Amino acid sequence: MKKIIRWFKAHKPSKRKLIQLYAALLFNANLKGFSTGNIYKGPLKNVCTPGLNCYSCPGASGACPLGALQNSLASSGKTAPYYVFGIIMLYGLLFGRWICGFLCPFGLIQEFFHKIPTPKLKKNKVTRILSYLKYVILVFFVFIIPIAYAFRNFPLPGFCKYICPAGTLEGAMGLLSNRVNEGYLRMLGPLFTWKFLLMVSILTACIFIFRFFCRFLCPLGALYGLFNKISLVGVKVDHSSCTDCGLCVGKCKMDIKHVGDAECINCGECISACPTKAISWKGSKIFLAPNEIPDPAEDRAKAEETAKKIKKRNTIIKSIVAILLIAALCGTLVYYNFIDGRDTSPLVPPVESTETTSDDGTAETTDDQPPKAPVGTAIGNTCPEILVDLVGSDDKFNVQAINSEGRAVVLNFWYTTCGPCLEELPYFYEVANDYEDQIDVIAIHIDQPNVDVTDFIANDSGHPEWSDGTMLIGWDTNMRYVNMFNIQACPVTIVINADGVITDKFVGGLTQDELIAAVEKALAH
Amino acid sequence: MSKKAIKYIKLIYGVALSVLLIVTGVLLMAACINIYNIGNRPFTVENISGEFAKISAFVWLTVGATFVGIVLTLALPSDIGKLKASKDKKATLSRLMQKLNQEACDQEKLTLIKKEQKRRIILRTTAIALCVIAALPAVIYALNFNNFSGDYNASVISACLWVLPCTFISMGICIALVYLENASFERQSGYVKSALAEAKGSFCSKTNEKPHSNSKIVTGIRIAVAVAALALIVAGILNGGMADVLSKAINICTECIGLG
Repeated sequence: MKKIIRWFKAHKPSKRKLIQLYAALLFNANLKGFSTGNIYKGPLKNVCTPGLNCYSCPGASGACPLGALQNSLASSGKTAPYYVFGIIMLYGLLFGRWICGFLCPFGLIQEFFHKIPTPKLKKNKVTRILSYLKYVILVFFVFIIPIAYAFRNFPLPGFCKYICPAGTLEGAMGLLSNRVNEGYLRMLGPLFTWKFLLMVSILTACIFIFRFFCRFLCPLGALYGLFNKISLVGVKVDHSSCTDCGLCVGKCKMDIKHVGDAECINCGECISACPTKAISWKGSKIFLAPNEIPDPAEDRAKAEETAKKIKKRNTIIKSIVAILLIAALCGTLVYYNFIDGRDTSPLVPPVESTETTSDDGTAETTDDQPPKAPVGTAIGNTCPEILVDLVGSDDKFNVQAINSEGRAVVLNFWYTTCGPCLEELPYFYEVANDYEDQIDVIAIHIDQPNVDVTDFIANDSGHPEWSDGTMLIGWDTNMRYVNMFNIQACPVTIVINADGVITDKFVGGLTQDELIAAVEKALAH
Repeated sequence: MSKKAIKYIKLIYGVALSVLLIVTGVLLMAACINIYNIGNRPFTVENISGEFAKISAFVWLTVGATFVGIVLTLALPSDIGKLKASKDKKATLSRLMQKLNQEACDQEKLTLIKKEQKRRIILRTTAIALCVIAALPAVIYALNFNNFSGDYNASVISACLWVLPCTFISMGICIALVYLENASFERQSGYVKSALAEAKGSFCSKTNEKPHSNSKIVTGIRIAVAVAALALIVAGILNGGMADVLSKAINICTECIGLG
């Protein structure tokens, strides 16, 4: 028994690991998302989490600061990205790269991979120089590419799209691992292949090289590193006690030159390595007050009494902090999983039908008409009642009324900052033009703040002809139809034939041929 | 079991596991490429399960071997090696230089020390100049936004082909600089140490000087950054930036996560 206890004590997780696990759970508190395959869509997602945690991950409780930064820069022509810059500065000031060491979920994943017992590649002068690569990635992929395409009114988050392994692992794999999202499979192509290869390479590299991604590629770490010297949390060195023995740098697995420099993730492992106790936590005087303890040689009783007092105070502070943290985690888990219902479970479509339904679910009508498919949002169902607000007009687009005229309908859900949406919209315009006698095409912009679709089409889209009425432009007020069709990712295309039956539903961008094929299929029904 | 035997077991197992892991990684990548090569819209449930069924035995073998490896590591006593110091040669040299009383120093040594210092300045200046020259084409290309055309994938690849070689050339220059500088530091340290040994206690009085404290400057910067951050957040909330973040975060960006 003693052996077991000794073994457990030797192998128990460190406080840092516990905090990392805590943070990973806190930033992925929407646990039900993993079972439903849907992401959290509540108001708390406008807050950025400090670490790299993809906001398309089904569990994500907040926004990724790096994704938000790129998207803000990509739309900087309309709204200056003050908010994200402010948030990153605030996190940098408070924590610096302590975030990388303690709060980043992807850092934790990398450390788990590094735990696999294989020979490891240690840091050296070459890795030290390679660590500057992340600054190049920061400038080029996070700033230059989104800004360059912002001038073309095309949103392109360069790092997210071409590099981020956290997005592929947490977002893409998280969504694809659920059968509910099988529809996303048709989107996968060269981009997914590239990102999958990159993700596997990076994770394999993490097994042999400590925090491979953090050290060489992560632009968020590069940003936070700029704040390391002034951050309120982290490690500090008392230069008057430091003897430059180099044991701290020798112990550290990151490419640091000095403790606390831009490469230091403030993990605190060097504290125990320092022979002169020159390294300590910033603000550690709250917990430890060694100066308050009198010299035992002078007054032994007083020294013991003070030490006891300090120990008691430290225990109380630590207990309060632990209780508050546990309460915060429990509260967060309860809120995301039980209280906030704005996740993503599809809303029951507002069925207003006078039809009676038979036992097998098919609708029956009282006269001699053939039986209709049940009302629903799946392929083969009769489309529920849809009445979309038209942009720049008080009229509404009534799908059922158009069906009653013997015309088919194509619904396309899009938004102005969605790259794939803007790529495929010209095809919809062409199809609307080519089949104007048989179908009606409506591009429904999902409800978003600060968007003027009329202005966008007239000035920024590069296609002012879209406003000529050939293809109608709608606005999904209060996300009514996004929720009805359980749309999580845009673009989504729904094709409804003249009988009001949904014949096709596509998630992701369409080619012109695919769109024409879907339209022909609807017309043939 | 002796410590040496345990060490060898761990090493052999580690190497074997490394090979397994690398091969598994390569197989996963090959499976993905195979599916992609099938043709139009290739990622179907059938294709994925068919392709991964071919490598599943190997993947499970690797998972099992990894698990066994972790158990072995936990069960066998860990070998805590002696902590190796990684000295900052620049800092050590600067500490030694502080001790050196230049007035009492041998003139020949002083000349050598100054020569090394001069050599490093020349090295550094040359390296910076070379880095700037190497990086210039990339900077010019990246800052010319006309290079980012409508065909964005091709544009980004083309930009990468400009930026990455320049970056790696600059890094190569930096690596060479680090090695040359370190050699220079070592040479100078040798001169300083021998000069100190000859001086026999005639050290510079600066040795006991306390390092310069810059806590006031740091506090000032912290306050300025805090004020700027809060001002930016408030401005962002007012100009709708926060709402923009929400609207992006609640709609899956399929391109951002690599779906397409």
